[in-house]
Amino acid sequence: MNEDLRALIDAWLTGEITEDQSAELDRALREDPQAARLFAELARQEQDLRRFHRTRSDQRAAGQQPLSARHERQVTGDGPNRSDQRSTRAVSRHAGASGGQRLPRRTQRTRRRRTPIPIPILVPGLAVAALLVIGVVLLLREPPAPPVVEPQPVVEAPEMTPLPSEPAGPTVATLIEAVGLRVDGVPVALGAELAAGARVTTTAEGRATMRFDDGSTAVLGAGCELVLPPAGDATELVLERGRVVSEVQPRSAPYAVGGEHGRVTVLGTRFSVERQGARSLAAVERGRVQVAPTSGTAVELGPRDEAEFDASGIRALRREVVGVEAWRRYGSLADERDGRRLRVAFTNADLPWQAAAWYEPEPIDLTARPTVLAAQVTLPPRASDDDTRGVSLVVAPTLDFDQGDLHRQEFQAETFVRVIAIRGLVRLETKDGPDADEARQWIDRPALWERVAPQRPFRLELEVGPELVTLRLDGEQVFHGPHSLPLTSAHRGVRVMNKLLVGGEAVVDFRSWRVDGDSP
Amino acid sequence: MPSADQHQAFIRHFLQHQDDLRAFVASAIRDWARADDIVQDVSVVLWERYEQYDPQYAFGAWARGIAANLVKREYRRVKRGPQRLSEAAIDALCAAFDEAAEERGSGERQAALRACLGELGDKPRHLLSLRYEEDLPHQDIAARVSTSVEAVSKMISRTRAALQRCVLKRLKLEGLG
Repeated sequence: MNEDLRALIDAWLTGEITEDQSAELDRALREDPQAARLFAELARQEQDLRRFHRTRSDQRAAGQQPLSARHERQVTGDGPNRSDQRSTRAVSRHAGASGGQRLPRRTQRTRRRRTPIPIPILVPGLAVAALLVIGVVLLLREPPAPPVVEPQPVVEAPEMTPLPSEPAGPTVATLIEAVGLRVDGVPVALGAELAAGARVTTTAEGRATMRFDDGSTAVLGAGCELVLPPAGDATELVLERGRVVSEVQPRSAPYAVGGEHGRVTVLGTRFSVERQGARSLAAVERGRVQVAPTSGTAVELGPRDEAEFDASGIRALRREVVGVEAWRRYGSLADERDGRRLRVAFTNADLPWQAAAWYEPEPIDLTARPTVLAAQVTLPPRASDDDTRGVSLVVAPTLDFDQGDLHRQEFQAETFVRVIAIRGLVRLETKDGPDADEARQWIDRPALWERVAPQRPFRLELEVGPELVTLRLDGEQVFHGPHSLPLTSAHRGVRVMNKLLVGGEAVVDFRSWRVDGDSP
Repeated sequence: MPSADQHQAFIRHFLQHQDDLRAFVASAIRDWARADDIVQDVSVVLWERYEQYDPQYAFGAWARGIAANLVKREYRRVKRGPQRLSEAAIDALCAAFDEAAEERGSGERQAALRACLGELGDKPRHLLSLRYEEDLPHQDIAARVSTSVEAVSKMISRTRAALQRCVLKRLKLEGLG
């Protein structure tokens, strides 16, 4: 009986069991305590085996050749290796996770994804371990002789051609930060003075900050190209591509960033302008700006407002319409509310699993305007192979629920969009009604390994509108597509479930926008 | 809100039992990623109800009771899917886990398993590797090692039985079994 029962339990645990066998196992568990006990033992063993082999899998990611692959080559001579398989799986996942695709409505039952240690983490780790070993060996040796000071070789700085000490024209700004920057096609040194009318470009990984005479600054992102203003009191940057963030001091003369599509004039503020193909996007962090398309009516933007525009006019205007102040909290963690921002201090950093807290702002009608949840996150160091601490942001309907029973069951009963970020993995989940299964979609890109890594701050944003869902990581859009969710006016509200467990803090930044125009 | 002492006590309790909770949930759900989610939810419920916990009762049994309820809810929630156990079977499993839960620590058991795996021959070790390291179903394993699915199932089952005996023997030798 024991061997048959073992086979049944094995078949159950592997999912390779027939309906009849399943019924037989169920009966055995109900009627025979010994069968239940054997099941419990094998279930524990199953977990232990998975844990053991996952550890080996991680070791393989470190470059150690797996036993199974060695063995298989010995047996078959040409067995496919795991990296090939992994690549194949990655390709197939990419195929399913590309932006703009309709989310699957049914749960994708996938085998558990292993989480190999990212090379960027592993390599430094091994290097540190090697240094420690070397250090111990050195300590165990005889005391070292007094150090002999020898002349150090002169390290030549990389060749860089500074701008001429006398700029070609009148100076309008000074370079206070420069990586991958060229001015009129020439690399420049930090501190260089930039001439009026100069063309400034940053490489695909470049960045630069210029300071103007009055203390105002302009930060150029990667892949940016702009033309500095001519000499004079007014400052107008002409943006040809990329993004520039300006912080403008109070001044009497105008400051503007313009281009083919129009001009954004500062009324005293910090704002950004980004060229996005056929349109530009202006976003204000504080203060006010005026956005004037080349033709069409100008609009003023206040804090946290955004406008998309092209030469013919304002294409979309997003204004914040709800000041969310009344966060209801259903958790055990400390927090501070600052309008729409929720600062969460995680005081329980030692907890082995996620501590979760729910936050619910005042109800928002999701059918009328998009909602954005954003969290600035720093994941803790990885505690073990099973450490899956991360952050989860949820847009779900508002429900009256019992505080004592506040977990996933309530919102799973309805419609929701959720994103989870855990150590190199980002997963988008949707549910389109009480009777539907969850649809899960992995966002799997190599860059995620570096971005969603322990002890590295990253910003996760989930935007849900009446029809579209967008996911951004560190400002980069990693998913954008229709969600097909049956949102109605009855479906409104937002919850944040913070499954984050860090020793520091996270800032959850909630926004709700009214959109006028045809975007996005 | 629980005090700092309660917080520490909770951490100790949960650390001690989290492996068992995951084994219980995962064996019923059979989706390891989903099981992780449920165990996370269990941990949250436990933490928030920890003030109600009576220390004279076993923490593992209390936690498993909550886990069992969440597993049943999960069954009700996912209306389609693979076979599932009856609620009575889950309760029986709960009792079986309770019976053996506090007898030995998962750390010792895992150490014993590692040692026992080292004693396996190449072939059974290779099969386990294909199943757990490469996540291959038995059908694919059979194709890889040029044998039948039935033979693979039987070999893996026997290997696991041998490992179980080996682990028990080692734990007994160490006075833990």
